[in-house]
Amino acid sequence: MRHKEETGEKLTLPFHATSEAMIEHLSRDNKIGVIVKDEATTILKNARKQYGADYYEMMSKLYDGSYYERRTRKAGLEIVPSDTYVNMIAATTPYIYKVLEEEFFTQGLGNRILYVLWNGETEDSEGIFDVDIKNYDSKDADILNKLRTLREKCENVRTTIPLKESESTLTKWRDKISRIVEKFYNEGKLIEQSYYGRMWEMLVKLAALHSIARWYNNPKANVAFVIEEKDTQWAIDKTIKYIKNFHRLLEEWRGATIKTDAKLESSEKLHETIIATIRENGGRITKRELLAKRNMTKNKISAHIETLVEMEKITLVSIPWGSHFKTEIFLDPDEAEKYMTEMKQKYPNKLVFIPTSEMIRKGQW
Amino acid sequence: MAEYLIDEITEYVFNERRLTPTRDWAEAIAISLVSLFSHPAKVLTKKGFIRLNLWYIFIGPSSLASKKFHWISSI
Repeated sequence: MRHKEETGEKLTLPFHATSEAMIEHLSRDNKIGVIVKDEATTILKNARKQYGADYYEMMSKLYDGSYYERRTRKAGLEIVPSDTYVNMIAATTPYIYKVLEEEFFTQGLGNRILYVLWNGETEDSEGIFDVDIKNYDSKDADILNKLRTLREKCENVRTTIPLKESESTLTKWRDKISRIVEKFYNEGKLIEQSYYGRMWEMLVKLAALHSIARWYNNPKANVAFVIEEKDTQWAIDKTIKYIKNFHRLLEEWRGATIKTDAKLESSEKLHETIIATIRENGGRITKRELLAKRNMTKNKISAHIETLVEMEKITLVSIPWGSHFKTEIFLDPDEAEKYMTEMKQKYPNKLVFIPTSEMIRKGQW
Repeated sequence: MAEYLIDEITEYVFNERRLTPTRDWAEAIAISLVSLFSHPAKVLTKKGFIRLNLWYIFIGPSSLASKKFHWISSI
């Protein structure tokens, strides 16, 4: 039995591309939940293309749980209740570095996010793509039951977590972080200043959550939780890790090919043209046809094809053909899979493969 | 059994279900779930209440930024 079926409560919130739709959902349906998003760059694109800083502001207020009001021509004044509680778990490819803009941080949304960056290798030596034939329903239910017990305790105690600031390591860290924020301010490093400006709050949140997760195993159900030294130390370790990730993000973003807005716009237009060309051709096209129709060389188009693959807009199927590759490009990944099966049957002695973005970058397509 | 619920969920997501390519990302999912079910808990500081919600973004190659973490939607 799943949580939604049992309680009628949805754990996940839909991610709407417009603030209006998001507001409508929060006003009408669940106000507490997690947004699960596998293409986080949509947030940046929405802000850039259609809704501007207003969009970042709406997302920031979702995070803050502060009520949001907005006057629209269509519906007049709309208000999201102040008691929204929204989490977000999102993933993206390094394509994010191509669409990231300073405003994402200076407006404040980027500073409300903790970043987890791939460290260059899969830690799971056996791989995450092993075929999974086990039925995990009962184990999922076990985790869910523990989380529900946690919620029950939190609701019963109506918990406010005591924090003795004057005696706490947390206070020392607040001062330490404040000094770093000031240093960044003096150096004119606005993005770093604003990100660090949120870090003490993040540290407190993490310490509190650790305290709660520890308290969960405490048989004395009515004892309220307190942030102890071990919670703070755990949270400090995590915060340092997240700060390192933030600096890596900045490095990779600033080190990525610097594109002016105009150039980026022109890239996006070319992406749209490539997609339109494939669509006009019935949803699939050979590499040779595409190059001829766009009057481009493979070298010139490769970076755009790589981006479209990373964005999961297109799927390629390639076969080594002499010193080149015979490649077919598809809009529908299922069609690509079907084509790959056909080609494997037709050419049993040849390697038929779906090139990854890295292979495309190396010209192996 | 892991001492803390965050560790237990991290182990489950990363080692047992293999839903994420790194432990850090599994831990972020675990923290987010604990945060979600901790509502309405909050911390009182001198500057006011701090809510416990968190937003995470994972950045990695497309094959690893896999949609497997959508498992959250299924529980």
